[in-house]
Amino acid sequence: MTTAPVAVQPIPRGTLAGRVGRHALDWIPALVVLVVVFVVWQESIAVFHIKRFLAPQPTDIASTFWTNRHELISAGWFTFQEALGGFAIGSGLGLLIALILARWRSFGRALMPYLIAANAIPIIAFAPIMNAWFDPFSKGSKMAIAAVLCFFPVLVNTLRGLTSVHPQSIELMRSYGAGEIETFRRVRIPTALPFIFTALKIATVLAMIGAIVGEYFGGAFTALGVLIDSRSTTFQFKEAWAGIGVACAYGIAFYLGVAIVERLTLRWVPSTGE
Amino acid sequence: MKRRYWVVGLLAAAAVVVTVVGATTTAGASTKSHKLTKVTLQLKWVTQAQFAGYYAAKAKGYYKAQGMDVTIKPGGPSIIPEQVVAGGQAEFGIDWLSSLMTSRDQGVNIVNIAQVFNRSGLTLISWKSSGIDSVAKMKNKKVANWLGGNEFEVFAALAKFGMDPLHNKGVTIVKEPFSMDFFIKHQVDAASAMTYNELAQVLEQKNPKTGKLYQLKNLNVIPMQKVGTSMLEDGIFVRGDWIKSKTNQALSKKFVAASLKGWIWCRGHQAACVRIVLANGPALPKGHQTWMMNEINALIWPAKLGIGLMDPASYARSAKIVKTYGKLKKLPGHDAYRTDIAKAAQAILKKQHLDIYGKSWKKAKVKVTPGGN
Repeated sequence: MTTAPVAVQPIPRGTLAGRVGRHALDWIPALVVLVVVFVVWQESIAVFHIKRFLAPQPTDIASTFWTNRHELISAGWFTFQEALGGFAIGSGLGLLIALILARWRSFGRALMPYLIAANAIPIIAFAPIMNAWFDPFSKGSKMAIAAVLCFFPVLVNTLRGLTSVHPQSIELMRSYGAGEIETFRRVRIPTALPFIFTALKIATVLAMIGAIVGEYFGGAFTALGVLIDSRSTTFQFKEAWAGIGVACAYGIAFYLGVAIVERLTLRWVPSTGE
Repeated sequence: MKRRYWVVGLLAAAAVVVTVVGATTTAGASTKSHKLTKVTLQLKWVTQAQFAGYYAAKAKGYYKAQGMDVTIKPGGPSIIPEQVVAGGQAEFGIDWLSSLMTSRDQGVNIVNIAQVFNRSGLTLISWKSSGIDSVAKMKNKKVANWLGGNEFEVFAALAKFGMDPLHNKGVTIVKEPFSMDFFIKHQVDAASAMTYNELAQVLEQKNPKTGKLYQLKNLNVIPMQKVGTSMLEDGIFVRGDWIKSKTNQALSKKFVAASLKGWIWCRGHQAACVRIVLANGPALPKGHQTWMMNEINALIWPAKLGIGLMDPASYARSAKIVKTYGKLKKLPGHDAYRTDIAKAAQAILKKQHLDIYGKSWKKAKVKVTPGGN
């Protein structure tokens, strides 16, 4: 026998090009939907004589974006920084407090109902109040809104992850004589990671919403929320739509950024490949 | 699980009851006044003395006398009167002339039929201690405005002194929130303030250093009217295609006549007019509305051309400013307004021997009250 038996051979992974090709095939249905939506949007406005100022055509929005791209992208960047700052503060605090509450369970059990209740509050309603507490024209006030928005979902999900460990795993760690820190490091945190990443992905979206809506109530001239708000009140809907498009792009990029970190971290969890 | 369905069923039943009751009460109301023509007026902002004339016209029965049952819809930060009127949810709208111009430039067919205010109430205010007592001194400073079409007068003023507000150069523009806290906290160098509203909101606050209310002498107040970049503000507008019909023209003449009559009444009865506004539930209290009523009257009276008539020179100045700072495609022409409706309305009022000019009107001295109470 000069060749190894078939069963021992490595599973053929295919060439890089082949893999890209296969992924492209996976994306085709989604792309078709996207194209259909844009074509229907574009054509229905022309066919049904929908007033251009109410719902501009995608091509109009695209060309408006192109003419104003410098202003829009830099406004988006300004707002993205607020979202990022709020995300870091809110998620960081959420993670930290979840760890504390998971370590001292009775404390956690006492607070859990209130945390879940707080998680259900439409916190965005606090946006004007944050503008009163902090300087409404600074990035700080928007970060505060974004941070509060991110805090509760990250806290609640992380705590749930940390405490949904199989009791047998804990017993096993105990039988090894592992301390609390070791148990957290080896069992609780790895179990909680999928929960944490789900929460962080939600938090990226919430942080963008918080920053933009916060800006509706006052903010810098160069902020995306201010731009969208003032353009839509002066009937410049193409500009407003282009601004919304930029907000979407930053939001999606933020989400994908976290999703990539998730894939790199959680390679052993099969479902993260989705 | 069963219990949950039961709860859902109960909620659905409750919703149906509420809808039916709501529908029958509105039906009852409409049959009572079936002879009157129902029209709706969309205001630019929340209920306040800025719109006293319309509330007075309704309360005093002037609209009814002209065969109309008018519903007055208050506005708010996310309500754009032009959109409401263009969408057919109201026949008449009140907004600044500049908003009408930007809307028309975007292809919205609306037309001004009466220009009620003929002076601008917009000012830039700063603390006396800051030393910023002119627009020129705002160079490289932080200046607040609500934006969204309310910024043109201020931008034109800043540009007059070499700043480039549109590109945030030479001056830092920030979006002003709807409360003056930020100004009290010195978070900006200068803020936009309407004489009738935000200026009073500042004066109604206590100075923590003295324990007394802030005084006008603590402030620099720079009216756009003095800088020479003022524009026309509140006016009545309708849809362009709607006003083509003769019936609607006749209706508009009556509506404008009754509205202007309300304003004439408020000129002579400031206190009583404030009471009418208060009965309609404004957000801010009596002291504030009394101040506002006085300042609003000052934007109308004396009316050189008679209340409601557009002044072509002021119109042209407004158009030029909006063209530049609203980045319009073309200069608004004189087709954005018509004077026949206002002239007819004035004729109706003259027949009733009403003074449409108010030449002898003088501003009253209104005492500022803490918190506007």
